[in-house]
Amino acid sequence: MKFIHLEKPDTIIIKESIKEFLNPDYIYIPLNNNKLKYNQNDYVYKDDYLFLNNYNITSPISGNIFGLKNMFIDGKNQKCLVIKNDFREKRNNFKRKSLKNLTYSFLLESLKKDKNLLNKFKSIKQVDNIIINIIEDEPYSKTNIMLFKENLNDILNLIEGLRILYNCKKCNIYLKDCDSSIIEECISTIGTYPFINISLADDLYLLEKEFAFKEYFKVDVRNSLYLNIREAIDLYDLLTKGVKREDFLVSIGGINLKEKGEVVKIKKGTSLKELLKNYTIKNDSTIMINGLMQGNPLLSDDVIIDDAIKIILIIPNKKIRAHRCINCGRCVNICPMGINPLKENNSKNSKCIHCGLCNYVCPCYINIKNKVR
Amino acid sequence: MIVHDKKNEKSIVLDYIIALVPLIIFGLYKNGYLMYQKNLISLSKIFYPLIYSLISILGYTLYILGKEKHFQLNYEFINFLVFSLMISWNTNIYIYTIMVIFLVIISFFKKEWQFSEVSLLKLLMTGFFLGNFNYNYANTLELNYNYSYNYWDILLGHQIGPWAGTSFIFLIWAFIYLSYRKSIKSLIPLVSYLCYFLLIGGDFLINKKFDFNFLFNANVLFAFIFVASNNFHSPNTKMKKIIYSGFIGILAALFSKFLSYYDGVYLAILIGSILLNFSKIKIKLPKNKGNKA
Ligand code: SF4
Ligand code: SF4
Repeated sequence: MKFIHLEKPDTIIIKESIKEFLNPDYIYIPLNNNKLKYNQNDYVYKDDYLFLNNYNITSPISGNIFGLKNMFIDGKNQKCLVIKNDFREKRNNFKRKSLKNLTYSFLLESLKKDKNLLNKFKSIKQVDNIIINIIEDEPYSKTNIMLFKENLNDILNLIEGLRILYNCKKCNIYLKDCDSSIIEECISTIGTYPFINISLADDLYLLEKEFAFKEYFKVDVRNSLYLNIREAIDLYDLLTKGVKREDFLVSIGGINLKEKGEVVKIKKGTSLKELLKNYTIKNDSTIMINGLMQGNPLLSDDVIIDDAIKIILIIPNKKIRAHRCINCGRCVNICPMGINPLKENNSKNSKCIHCGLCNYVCPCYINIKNKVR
Repeated sequence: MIVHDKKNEKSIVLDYIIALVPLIIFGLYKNGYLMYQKNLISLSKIFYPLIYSLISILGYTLYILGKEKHFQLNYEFINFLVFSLMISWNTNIYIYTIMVIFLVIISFFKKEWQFSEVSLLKLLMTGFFLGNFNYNYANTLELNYNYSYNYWDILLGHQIGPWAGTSFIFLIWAFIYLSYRKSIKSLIPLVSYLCYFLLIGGDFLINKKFDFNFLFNANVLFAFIFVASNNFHSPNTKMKKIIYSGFIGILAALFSKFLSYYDGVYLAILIGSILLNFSKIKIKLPKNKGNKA
């Protein structure tokens, strides 16, 4: 696999600070065939379970059930439950559990709500190395690094709990050397955990992806526990609170945004329209959901922001005219998944990770990634 | 504003032009200045070979205006420019112009089926298909003097051949430059010349007859670098590239040895590029309908 340094102009800057946007008027939760627990106008508390058959989904706000509405989530039109916010953040009280005496059976029990994490922990018996990957691939995004900064103590507690559980001697946090300014701010806290090392990686593309990370750093996969920053935070929440958190971070910026770019903390299920009301967008703009490499332009306004969205960029609506393919083969050679994007029967290719490298290298500016989709 | 690699179609074409400049300058020196020194041509005739390139550029302009309605440097430009450099110094200008017109027409209408059009046109021009396997590439100086070339002459390019394609050293430079700039499918010239070299070298070892000229054949290297690796008719995957280059390397050795020293390699590339189209055809197997109960 080829690891490349992306050519990215410095025209977009996102501040390393978090702005909270935690009071949307409405919250939209996709139904996904779940059975509703509440009827119209019923009152729900924050963190209440919303469905009878799914204990993974809780209400991010307190308020009344408003009804159902079709919205776009992750590019798909889906029926959503709408909750009207009463801005009181009423919740049934809870206390976070300590991770000091974490046991393996409690760990597995807590992870029943997240199959991926559960499988990860089930497949590994002995851990010699705990890896937390903070690296973020998408150019300009500051989401991961701010997530790390904001939850530093939780992550360090989690690593310590896991380290004692597995009797492990090595714990590494990986981030890009261009993000080292954040580390300088956190170093005094991290310094109190002698087993935890910070490793700086070059600014190379795709190190956020687990398979690429393991290849680049030659990780011994048998005895290493690998978690990306989101997995680490989900794990921490499931172990201490029993549910995942309902707010998350999104980077927002771009040349056509009059304000400076920033990282915002929002509730799951917030509508994009409502978020963008806080910003001034220049005329003739394109909204790129999930960035310039891995993202796609926004086609409809009725979009719900969920944790699959990490960056929203507002850029000029300037179309670059694609030429015809010159058969140079660059897209074939760069693809980390070994896909031949030039083949006609690629549309069903599930292997594509939408990394955008084929688009990036194409000398004719062809949007070849969309053909593979 | 877009996150994109620096390389685009125009920069690829510019890389090719930069790679070709030393070959063109050496070609003018060998086929112009040296002859002028011996009073075989007038001062103005030193630059005579550039007329071929000028005709090619005009042909390309015609093509691009017809296709895109405005002038721009497209990848096809390389084909037109290379075509003007791989011909003999004394090519008939009218025949050459007709061939460039053919190149315009082929470039304009070629779609699904790809082949090396410059190889085909060159072979047509030299009368290869009519059995003329010994087309005359010598310039007036080379015709009038009987040379015995030493190793340095052969490497630098003081030998008979296409007017801008005789310098082995400058060809190596062009290849290194294009590979470094990632503007060429570098595996193709590398593997094909290796196969050619091994076959010719093996033949010399068996027959105990050594011919440095054959082994370091600039004409063959020029064809492998600038014609065989042309994007449009060459493969993309590593395995296909190796098979294609191995195939044309072996054919080039056989054709150069037994058919035509100068034009054999172009026949090899033409055959290889035509055969490659068949690898794209998908064979549809009849669906297994299953047994009815
Ligand atoms: S977007 Fe898909 S096809 Fe393109 S390089 Fe990435 S994985 Fe390969
Ligand atoms: S990179 Fe672009 S021009 Fe090159 S083969 Fe792929 S699609 Fe065609």
